[in-house]
Amino acid sequence: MKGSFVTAAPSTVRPADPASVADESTVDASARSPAPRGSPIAFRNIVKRYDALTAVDDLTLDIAAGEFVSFLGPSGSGKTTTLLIVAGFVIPDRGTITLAGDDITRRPPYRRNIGMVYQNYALFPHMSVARNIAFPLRMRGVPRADIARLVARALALVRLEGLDERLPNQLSGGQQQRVALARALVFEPPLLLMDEPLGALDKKLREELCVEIKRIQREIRSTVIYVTHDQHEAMTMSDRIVVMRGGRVEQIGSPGELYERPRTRFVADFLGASNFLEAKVTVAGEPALLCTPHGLAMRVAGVAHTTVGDPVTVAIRPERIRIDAHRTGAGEWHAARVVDSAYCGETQRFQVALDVGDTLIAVRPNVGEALIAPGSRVSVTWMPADAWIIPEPAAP
Amino acid sequence: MREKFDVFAAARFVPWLFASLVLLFLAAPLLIVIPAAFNDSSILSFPPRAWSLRWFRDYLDSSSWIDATILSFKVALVVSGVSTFLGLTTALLLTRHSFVGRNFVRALVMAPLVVPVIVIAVGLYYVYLRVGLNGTFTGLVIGHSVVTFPYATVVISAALLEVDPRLENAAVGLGAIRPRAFVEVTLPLIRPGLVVAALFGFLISFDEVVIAIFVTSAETMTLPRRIWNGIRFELSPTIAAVSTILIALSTLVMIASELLRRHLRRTSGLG
Repeated sequence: MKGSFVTAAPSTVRPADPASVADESTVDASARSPAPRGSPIAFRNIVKRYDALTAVDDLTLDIAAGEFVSFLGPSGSGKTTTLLIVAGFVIPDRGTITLAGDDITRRPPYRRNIGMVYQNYALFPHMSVARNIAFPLRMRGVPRADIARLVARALALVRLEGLDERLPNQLSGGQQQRVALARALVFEPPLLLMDEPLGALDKKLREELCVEIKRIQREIRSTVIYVTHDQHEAMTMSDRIVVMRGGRVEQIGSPGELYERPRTRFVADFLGASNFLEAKVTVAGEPALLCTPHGLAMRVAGVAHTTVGDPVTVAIRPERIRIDAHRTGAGEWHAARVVDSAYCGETQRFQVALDVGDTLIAVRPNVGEALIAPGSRVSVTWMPADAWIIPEPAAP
Repeated sequence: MREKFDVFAAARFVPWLFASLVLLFLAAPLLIVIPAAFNDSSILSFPPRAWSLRWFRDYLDSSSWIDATILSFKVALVVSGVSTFLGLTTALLLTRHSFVGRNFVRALVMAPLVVPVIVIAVGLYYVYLRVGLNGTFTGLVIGHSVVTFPYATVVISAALLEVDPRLENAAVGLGAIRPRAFVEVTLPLIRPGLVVAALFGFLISFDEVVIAIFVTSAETMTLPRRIWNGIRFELSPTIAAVSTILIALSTLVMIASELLRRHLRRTSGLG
């Protein structure tokens, strides 16, 4: 997985033979399940403009069979437009989309055989749960006896046995979402699209359904594209996350890669929180020695390409900064003063001002230690590996 | 100490009093016509001195009255169908598509509601003279549909606006071609609106007299037109009997439509 983030996997251009697709298994999908039933999908230079606004700007991306990929970004980042392009409700101005090797860019939605789950569920209010789930089967001319069997199986998959005859408005939000999922899966689509499917649910239910969706995806081995603006959903479920911003891909990678080594300030800020320090290279090398204008010196690895005097942005996760009230600043420990402290339940959050002048946010798990009061003298440190360089030029 | 007159308590009865007076005013003609229908007297008079059903029998025995009734039924049924279909297509155009001049089209569709019926009737009469539709069944259906079609459009548009257009898209995404998605999803959801539009069309056509006076002949005599003639030339109490039947029929249709609408709303999962 590592290092495979960008594009052009030659294996995605292959004949549209379902058997060959099922036989082929990519590295990350095979780790989970031996024979993915989903299809690979490839985006090539997709562009979609609405008047002056470019909703999707030159998107190129390969998704392997059976992979769970999230499109993560704020509203207006182009993630939903991308999904609608895959579903066939929006035709891109340029570029092509291939599903299992077939060019589907201009194929009408009803012939794409893609399952879709909507944020508002879009259940048919006049049809019972069973009839809702049977709908895609009826549209495909599946014989009646098979429909009953497949609907029962889909209901079991989403754990809604016994609710067949209910109308959607007699179900809770979570149950409605399960029905929508069953309806999108019952015809065994090679690709499942989910557009903020948990957006309308409360937090507890969201976490529960995250686990459910992941379990179901493992069972059916479908390829999934999941659109969300919630970083937790994206991180807990995805094999890879595509962070989008203003219609462009900001970074693609596994949740771990994105969280540990975001390549832009935007990604570092959108997934979790980060401390950013502007610094200059004082001694080049691996690791290099950096120094902030205030005079904070630190060693950071992964900067072999820089030379002395280059400006760089250093990022450090607040939870990687260790804070100690009993130690004095010496060696790798920096003397500091607590400016503000907050009790956050499972964590404690501190704003500390280093004696050299820089300000950092530190978060530590609440393991029962007393909150350090503002004004207290403390020392902070971090492992050299926990600081990294944002390669992009300093943000405007 | 004497109990004080409570102005506010008394004031609460004012709306009730007002509503009762309005209701009385609206119902007054019925209070005259219905007893008159059961009057034994051979001239249209009120109040009745002796009671009889002879004018109802007179109606049932008269072929001109029965023919007029049957014709009115036929016309009303066809008008109901035509205006519901036109209303549905127009409502779809106006609610689901945006195009240049949409507001103009909307205003044009609504025009028959604003233009006095007599103006429409005169216009129809002159157009029909040229194309030979005066005195024909088709002419009558077209004339009535002009008046009922805007109602159908309004009622069906309101129903369509309540249906999330994303549902139809979802159906298309699940494998339905667009027309199938419409029939499977949107149509059942707007059925209450369609039923109301059809009943409105039926009732308006069944009651309509102004256009009928202009474009019907002796061969295409509708019930309201027959009543009109009766009032002008006969003044027989049969008219009161026919009116009573019409009132009963209208009331039944309104009650039935309300019950049906409630039933459909409940079973469509919208309620």
